[in-house]
Amino acid sequence: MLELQTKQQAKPAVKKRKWLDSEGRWGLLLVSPYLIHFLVFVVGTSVASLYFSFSDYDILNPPKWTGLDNYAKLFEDPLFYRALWNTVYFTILYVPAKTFLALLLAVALNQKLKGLKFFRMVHFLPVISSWTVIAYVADAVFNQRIGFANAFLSKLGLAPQNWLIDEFWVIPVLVLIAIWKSVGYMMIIFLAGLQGISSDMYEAASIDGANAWQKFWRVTVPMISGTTFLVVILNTIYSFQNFEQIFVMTGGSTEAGSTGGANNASLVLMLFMFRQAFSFFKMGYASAIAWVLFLILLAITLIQFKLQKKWVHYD
Amino acid sequence: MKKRRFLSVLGLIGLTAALLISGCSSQSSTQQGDKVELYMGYSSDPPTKKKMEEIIAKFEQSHPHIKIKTMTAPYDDFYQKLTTQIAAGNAPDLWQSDGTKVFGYAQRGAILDITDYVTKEINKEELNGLEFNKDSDGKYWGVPQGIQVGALFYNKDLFDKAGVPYPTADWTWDDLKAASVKLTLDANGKHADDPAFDKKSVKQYGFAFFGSSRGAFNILKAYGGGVLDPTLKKSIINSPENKKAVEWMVDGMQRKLFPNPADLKAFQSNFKAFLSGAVAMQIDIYAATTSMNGAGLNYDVAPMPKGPDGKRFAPVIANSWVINKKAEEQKVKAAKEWITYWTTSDEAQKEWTEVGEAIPVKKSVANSEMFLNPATKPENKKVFLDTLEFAGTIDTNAVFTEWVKVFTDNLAELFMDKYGTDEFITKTDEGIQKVLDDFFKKQ
Amino acid sequence: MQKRFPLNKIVGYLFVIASALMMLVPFLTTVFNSLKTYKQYMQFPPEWLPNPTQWSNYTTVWEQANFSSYTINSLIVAILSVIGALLSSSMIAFAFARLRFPFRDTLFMIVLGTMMIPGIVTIVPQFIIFKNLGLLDTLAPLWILEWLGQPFAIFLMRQAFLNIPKDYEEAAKLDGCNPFQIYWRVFLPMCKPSLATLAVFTFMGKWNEILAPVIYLISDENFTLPIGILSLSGQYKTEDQLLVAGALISLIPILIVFLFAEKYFVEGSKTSGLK
Repeated sequence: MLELQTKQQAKPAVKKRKWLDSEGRWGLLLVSPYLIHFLVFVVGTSVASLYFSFSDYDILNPPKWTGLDNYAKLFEDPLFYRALWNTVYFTILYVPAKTFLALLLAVALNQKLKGLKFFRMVHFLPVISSWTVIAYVADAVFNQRIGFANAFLSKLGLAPQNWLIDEFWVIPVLVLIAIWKSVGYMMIIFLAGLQGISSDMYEAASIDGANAWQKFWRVTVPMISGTTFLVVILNTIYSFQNFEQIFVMTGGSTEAGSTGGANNASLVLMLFMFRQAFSFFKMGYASAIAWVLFLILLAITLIQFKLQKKWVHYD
Repeated sequence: MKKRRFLSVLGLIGLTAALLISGCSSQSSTQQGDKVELYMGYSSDPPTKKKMEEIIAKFEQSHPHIKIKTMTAPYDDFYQKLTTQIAAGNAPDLWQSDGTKVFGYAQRGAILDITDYVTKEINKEELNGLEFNKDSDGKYWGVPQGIQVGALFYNKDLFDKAGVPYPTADWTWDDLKAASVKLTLDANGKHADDPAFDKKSVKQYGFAFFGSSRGAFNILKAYGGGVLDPTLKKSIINSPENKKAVEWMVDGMQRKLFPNPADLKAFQSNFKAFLSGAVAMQIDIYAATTSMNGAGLNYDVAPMPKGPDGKRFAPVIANSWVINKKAEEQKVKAAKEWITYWTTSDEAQKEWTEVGEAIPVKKSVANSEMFLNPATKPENKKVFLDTLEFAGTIDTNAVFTEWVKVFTDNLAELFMDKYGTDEFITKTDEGIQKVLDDFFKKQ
Repeated sequence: MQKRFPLNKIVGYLFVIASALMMLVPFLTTVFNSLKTYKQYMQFPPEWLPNPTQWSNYTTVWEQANFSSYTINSLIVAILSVIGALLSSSMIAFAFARLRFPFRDTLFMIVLGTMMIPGIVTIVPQFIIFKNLGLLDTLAPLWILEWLGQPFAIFLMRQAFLNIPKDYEEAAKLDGCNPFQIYWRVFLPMCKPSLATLAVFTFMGKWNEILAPVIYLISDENFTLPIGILSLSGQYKTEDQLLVAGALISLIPILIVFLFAEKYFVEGSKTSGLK
């Protein structure tokens, strides 16, 4: 959809016209606040951080240029691969499951159910809550001791689990909580998209004898693929940059010897980077991690844009 | 047109560069009249913050030429903010540093060498813990703000209920483990030595340890091992003594006498296992007493147990006042006046002792009824002062936080049965040595 | 046909009700937790209902911290951010959507690209900039960037403007409006639902922000709610049920805003072109 609209609206840069006519001047004038933002706060800070990534910079002293050292070290660091894998694993679980659940919820609600407004609001409660609040909510459920997940398991006669420390559980549980927090928002986006699908399409499918399930796959899914694409892109970016949740829930504590998230099972790239920068005084190294993360994200996004032609349906 | 645009872009880039580069120099002079404004940082929670503000007000009364501006935050946030501020060149002139972080700042050149001031103006005989922030070259980097010493905390109620005699000064770590067996209970009230004991539903543990000052480090030391050699640049993890100590710990974990990291995590914060009465004994430092008193726990302290050869070890952390290396001269002077006030004034010392956050640095106050007051728990506060005589630092150096992370991460994996003792020893030895080499070989 | 339809609805209801319960029950549990005594809070195995119900947790935590001042600061930051976002991001978005100017498409791609730069490593350079502007320990670093346009806000508003038929623009041009007037008088009023969406989003983001306030604010009187609550938690000293109560208090204002803005929010999502 993004690409589509760029094509539709963007009048091709017309070469015949003067390079900067009145409209062009107005355009530049109106975007000028962002130009300041961009040049000072984006270019300025990014160039600085790029420079740090090529330096030995402990924050306390001025950076010393060391060339590719940080990057070389990074590619030899087993913890980096661990963090990268954890991040990728998180994304693989998070993006498809959340997309699918949100779509199902939207489809269910779109059947003109009574109490639509109430359901919408209920699903939005976690969306508006801060991670500090969510951390306590999650604790009420997943704490090994006082949480109700284990209390429930033991009622069923099953063994309690160490949800947030166990290597097998920690990422799936964090993903579950992340989905729980934001599925309501995505549901609303899908709901808006569904309401844009004309009922003729469904009637035509009914005439062909399609049942509800078939209608979902043959009409709803393709018709809404533009929204899905957008949502997948935004969520992938979010998932790779997810910091607050992991920080608040598994502890990014700089306290000496804190065992929060001890076994690195929930060490994601952002947390890895944060620790290097603010606990270990390795801002240069942290900056290198950031730039590698940026390049990975950029590559993934570009690939997603390339792949969209294969599955995104534009009418 | 084109030129103008080019110029404006150039101007913006210049502006950015100016904003970024001038970061390191511009120290605005904040002297108003004859008054010096001293910028001071400390980590706090609500009660300590209130108390510190009161002490500052008293200081300002007796030192009318100094005005103190403060920067404070809870522990974690405080250090993150401090780091950012040092980078931007507007860190406090003086701050209270966790004892484990002093050398980190010192060896990265962020704080002032105050050897001269300490030797000339501080009476070493009157002060606790001054030597702990002296580096191997004999330089002083900080003056103690409050002392933390480790001891064995025990829950009297749980001991009474189990009919186990309280820990004594003669205890060895094996005595502790033997008592732990009787103090560990499952959901059905069965003891750890009962054949019907259910390891899956432990309700009460004998003994908890975690982290560095409250953790395995102390046991390694008591067994004659340790983590770093005296130069603090080499790992000595790989030793038979350490192996013995580690096996002792793993055995306790496997028998569920000690909670493993996952068990502790269930209490939200590691400290809360003991606080909530689910653990009978724990290594902790003096600062823990405030929360234990707050929780109304019936507890006392005993000296740390001895190792198999009678060796005893207890951790000490001297949280200290340190001075910013970039502070202006008159502010350094004011900072020293504050430090002198803090360490010598009975008024300040007594006020601070009242919040119960640390053992007073002034010996006369530490030895007074005011601190030893038997009416408040723990009754046996003298244990802390006696311990101070033999306690040692926990190998704090410039990369302390980083090697501790390797150490505790690997311990967690060991205690969670991810690998055995031998693999733990080799892996930790290599990991810690790498952290050390990364920093020290570069210099 | 007639028979199958109710079945779909029943399945739909079951699914949505189950999902709604999964949303609500954990919250309810948290509210109950905030009303327990510390002893009951830590009790194993846990009990669902507080017994006794300790309402005083809320008053205790309110008294321990400067909550009214934290709330006011949070409101200042959130409201200034909302105004900034509404004015600047929409104007910038209008230019991207409706005006032709050099490097427009490249610049827009850059806007989207900046969403991919991890924020943490630019903390230090950004801190230095704000320090040199003399804005440390003020609320300004928390809202000022909203006045210079934020990527997501620009993206959202651009989508809304793209959906407005060209005729409106042409008509306004014939009336002699310049582009700013077209934006201000014609386009902006037509996009009120999207503006409401943007307002709610900005408010929500700012209300819940943790990292920036930790770094930029120094004095207690400048603290916003999230770090005000953080400052309650000493390493040892606070009882957890109080922190839960504190966190829930911070949820109340945003909940009120949401209850009032919910309608606009949904309408906004529909028309913002996020279809």
